[in-house]
Amino acid sequence: MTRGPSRPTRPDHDADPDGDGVTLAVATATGVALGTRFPAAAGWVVAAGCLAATCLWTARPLRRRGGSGVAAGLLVLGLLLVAGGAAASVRATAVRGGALVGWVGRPGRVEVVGAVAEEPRRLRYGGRWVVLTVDRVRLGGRTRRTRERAGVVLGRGGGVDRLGVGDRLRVRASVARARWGDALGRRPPVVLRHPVIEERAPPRGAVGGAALRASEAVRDAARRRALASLAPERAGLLVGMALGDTSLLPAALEGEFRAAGLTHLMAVSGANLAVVLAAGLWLAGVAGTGRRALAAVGVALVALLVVVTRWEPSVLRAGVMAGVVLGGVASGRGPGGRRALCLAVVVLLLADPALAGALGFQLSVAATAGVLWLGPAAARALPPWIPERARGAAGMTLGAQAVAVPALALALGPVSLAGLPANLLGLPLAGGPMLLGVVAAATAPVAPWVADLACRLAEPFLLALIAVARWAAGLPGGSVTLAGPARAGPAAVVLVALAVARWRRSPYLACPAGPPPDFREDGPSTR
Amino acid sequence: MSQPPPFVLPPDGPGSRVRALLAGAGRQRVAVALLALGALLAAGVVWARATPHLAGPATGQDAAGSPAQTLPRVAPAGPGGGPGASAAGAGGSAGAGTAGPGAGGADGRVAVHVAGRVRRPGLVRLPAGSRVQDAIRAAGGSAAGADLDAVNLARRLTDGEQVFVPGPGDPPPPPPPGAAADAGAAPPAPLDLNTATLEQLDTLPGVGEVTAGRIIAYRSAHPFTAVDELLEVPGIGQRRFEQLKDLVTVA
Repeated sequence: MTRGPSRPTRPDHDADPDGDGVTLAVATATGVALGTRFPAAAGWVVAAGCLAATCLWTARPLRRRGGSGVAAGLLVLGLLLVAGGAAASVRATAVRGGALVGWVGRPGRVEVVGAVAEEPRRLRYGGRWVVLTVDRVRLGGRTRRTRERAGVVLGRGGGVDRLGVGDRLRVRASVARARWGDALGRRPPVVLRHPVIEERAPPRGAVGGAALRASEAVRDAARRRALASLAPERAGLLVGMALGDTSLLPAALEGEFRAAGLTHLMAVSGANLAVVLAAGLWLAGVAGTGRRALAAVGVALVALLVVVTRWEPSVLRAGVMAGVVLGGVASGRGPGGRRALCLAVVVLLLADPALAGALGFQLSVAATAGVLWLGPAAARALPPWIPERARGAAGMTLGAQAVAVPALALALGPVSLAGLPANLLGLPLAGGPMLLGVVAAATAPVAPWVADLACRLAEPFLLALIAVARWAAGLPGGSVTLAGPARAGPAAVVLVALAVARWRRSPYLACPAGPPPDFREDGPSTR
Repeated sequence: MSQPPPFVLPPDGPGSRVRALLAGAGRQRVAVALLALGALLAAGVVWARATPHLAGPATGQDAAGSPAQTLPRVAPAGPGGGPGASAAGAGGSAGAGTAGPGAGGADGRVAVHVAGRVRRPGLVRLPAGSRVQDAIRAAGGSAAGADLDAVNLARRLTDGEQVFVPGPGDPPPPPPPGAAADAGAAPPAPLDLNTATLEQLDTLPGVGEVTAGRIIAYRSAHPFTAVDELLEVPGIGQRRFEQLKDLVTVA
């Protein structure tokens, strides 16, 4: 996931304070990787405690920067590395010690009680892949409290279609090891086989449960409003783009979007956040709000969107990043997109090291890094007859694609050659539905007619997007799946292109003076 | 981040030490140290919650009671049965059905309504695997004039059933609604998966010789402890299990 940040093209080393941020993020990620690989939790924790104490001790103002600058930097880096290792190794230990993991391979049935942890994924034949956060296990005649993740495939029918995050289930099943589980338990280490659902109940919990119920109510209202005022495929697209809810999306259209490399539009991410923030802050600014109040409005909007979209990894990343940027704005230090990304990565990895293994998180970090580091240079490399704003937007798209496509190819294999033109055409269209969909969702429970109006306003954008996706999906060689070493191909192509560009525009890829401070890379307006 | 601070606070004044600490050279180190300590704390909480521990005394009551509290009763969602699952089977299994004799793992007891010529007619609770005779005994024994020959005293009880002990003038007990399709024939007693022979298993709907053989192979490896372990037998999927689960039991 640090693929992006670890390979920055430094426009100007002296004028670029982000190098620091990158090393911090890389140190944390390295620590997480090491902690996952060598989960000797006690050692990591003791080391982290010692280094943290050293940091606090030596941070007294008596010692000025200067002589000990290198040592201090190394100390900070080492602390982040060890802290990442501690966080990861403790979790790995916890995952290995899980009650269900210990039951793998035994013949009896277990009874688990748990809550749906993520949005259930639709499987090809109509079943659902559901990840449960199990809090109670009954096995071998005893009930244990625990906290671990388990996956289960539920067939169609029986109301399973309507299963949402936070819904609680009591399931009897046998336990098998998951082939694709990861050490930190994001992809569950065990699968519940041959499940029999015994009971089902809505989310519980004072805060979390209420938030989930409210979010489900909003999403449900938005779905109904969209279906009432739009044709089914457009309604599905609108809800998918605004809320990341693909349950209404026809499978055929989903396939076309995948072939066109536009599926990322259906995952809520920084783009949604940026559009909503831009609109909300603009409104608040027109209303004459002060700087700090603006930041407060921004934080409220971020919190709202994070709750309504059920804190998906990419939303979390974007939310923390937007929080950092807004904090910078409020304190008068100005935004700093790259620094904010690095800080968000550090904070999120320390809070939940398992994110490092989530493809959604990796891709969104990679794409954002592409936007921030390659975007401005790409924009400048475009022919000058293109208007300034269009160049900026196209540069952001190019930068994101240059990193996201190789990353996706390395991870999974599929490459959409049609993705570049589709994204160049589609991304400018995407902002409308993203904003209008959120407006529709926010107003659907209270003022249905506003929601209907928003849906209708979004309709032209949706029609155009669908047309773009169909056109791109129909291009020859639209979608190719790479296998084996060929997966590294796109990455190699991009690296060679970067090297060539750097060589031709010696000494730097970017402009010598560093990015202008007001360039859009520095806003929260990232993917 | 490592840029020199944009401003330096005067070294005196209220709280100046703390502010100087945060604004001065060590600001980044303090922030990172606090971040790291927070991460350690979060990891500790995760670890404490993930470590399995017994949830109170492992009585049957606990196991049955606590999930039921966390999950208010709703109609159980039939998982993979699909539209093919018979309405009668689904209706019969709703509510207490899943806690039947085999799945009775929930609390290991069955509730039976004993009616007719017994001393204390009403609901009795018995350990799973009890016989009709135990139920009559629990209901105070047979009353005068009870026709015990009309009742199969050896039959194993299933959860939620009614045991009717007729007197001399009483009509024969009506068949339970689920067995109405059997044209008045006495409802077959549930087959014990651990003791049934190959031929008996063969009579189950959807179970042929091959599947019956697999069931026996499975139970010789690990005896059944619950009816839903049938799902572990190769060749028995959700749909067939829905048909079978009310016809078999586990002692």
